[in-house]
Amino acid sequence: MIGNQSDEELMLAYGNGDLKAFEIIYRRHSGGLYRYLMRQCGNAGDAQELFQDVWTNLIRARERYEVRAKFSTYLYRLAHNRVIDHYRRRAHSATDKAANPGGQGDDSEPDELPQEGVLQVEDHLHLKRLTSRLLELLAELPSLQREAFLLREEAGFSVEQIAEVTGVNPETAKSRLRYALAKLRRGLRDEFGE
Amino acid sequence: MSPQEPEDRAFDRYLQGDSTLSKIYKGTTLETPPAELDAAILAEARQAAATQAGKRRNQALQRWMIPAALAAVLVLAVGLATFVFEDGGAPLVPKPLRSKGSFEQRQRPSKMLDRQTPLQQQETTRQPMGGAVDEPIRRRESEPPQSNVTAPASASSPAEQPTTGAPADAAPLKEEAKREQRPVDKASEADQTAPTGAMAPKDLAPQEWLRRIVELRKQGKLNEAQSSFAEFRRRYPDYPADAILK
Repeated sequence: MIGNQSDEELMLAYGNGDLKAFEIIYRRHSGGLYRYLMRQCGNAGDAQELFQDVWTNLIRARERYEVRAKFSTYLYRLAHNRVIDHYRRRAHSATDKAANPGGQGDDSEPDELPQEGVLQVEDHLHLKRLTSRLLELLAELPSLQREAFLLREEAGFSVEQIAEVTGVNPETAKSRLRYALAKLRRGLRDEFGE
Repeated sequence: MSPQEPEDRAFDRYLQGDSTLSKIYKGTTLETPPAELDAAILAEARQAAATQAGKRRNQALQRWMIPAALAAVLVLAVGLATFVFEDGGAPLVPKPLRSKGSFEQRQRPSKMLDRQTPLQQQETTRQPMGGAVDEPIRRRESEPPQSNVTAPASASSPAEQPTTGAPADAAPLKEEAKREQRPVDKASEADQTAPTGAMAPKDLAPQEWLRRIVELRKQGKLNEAQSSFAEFRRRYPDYPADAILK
């Protein structure tokens, strides 16, 4: 059954003209990819433009697609490159200093790394406030750390896959993810005094 | 215990999916792309697939086009070859210059040409070898002999006298009258009296020879006709005799 096929098989099938295969791939990945782009761009307009570009690139590349890695890695690699291009176009903007992948502040050591477990979810209202604050903190993260966190949360990638998508070695990817987590925890703890 | 160890454990728990932070993040609004964006992307994918299908059809067509053209050319060539070389490799279409020349050259030195009637000589020299083989026969049937022929103008053509076994246009009038008086013994009489009938087959013009073979067949002398034809074929291997014999 086509719905049980892997992403790679579906993409190959679409490369051979099977539209149904593409629809399944799209359903599987459109939400996570859209949120990844939304969080990275910070506004829906840009995110939608990038989102469409990524899928258009995928459609155009369908006949050249080869299974060299997980399809999701391939897809988010396309998205990552598109986000980089987007940042480069906006490089003059001072509002996003982290847009440059070689930026200095991204991987700087935090003063301390807050521990997991200090955050207690008590009720829905509290959770709502927490999530709202988490999104704010996420938006304040350096883009590379934010990207590492989003790739983990939205695509479910391992450190190695994050490294592959972002084109760095696994240690760098792990470091970015750790700093992102630390900043988010610290921000939540400071905000809610927990 | 180093201060980094709790952090390492927390990070490991996070990677294993056991993280409060992940739970909080999962509680954020799950934005999804607008429906019109979904529709636009799916339409683009559909169009690309349709274009691809069309391209593949064209490619398949192009892939078959050359073999199909070659097959058509082959069929045409075989058909033409079959049409041209129908009779055991003997071309139905004449090779006028070579055939005519070689045939005439073969005929010229023979004595037989001198013994032919002027009409026969005329036809033999005027007709291209492969031209219409039975054309002289038809012409002789329809036209009277010309005035400068030594035989009388009223002499019948061989086609009109199938039983004589030889053309009578060279026979004298007396012999003709005798034949009319004694129709019963017509064939033997013709053989004895007609000059061409008395000639050996190898001395006859090929057309006359063939007519004699036809006559032999009609008379039921099949063995004689066969041996005569074999001799004819040895003498005139290229002469298109089949059309006459048919």
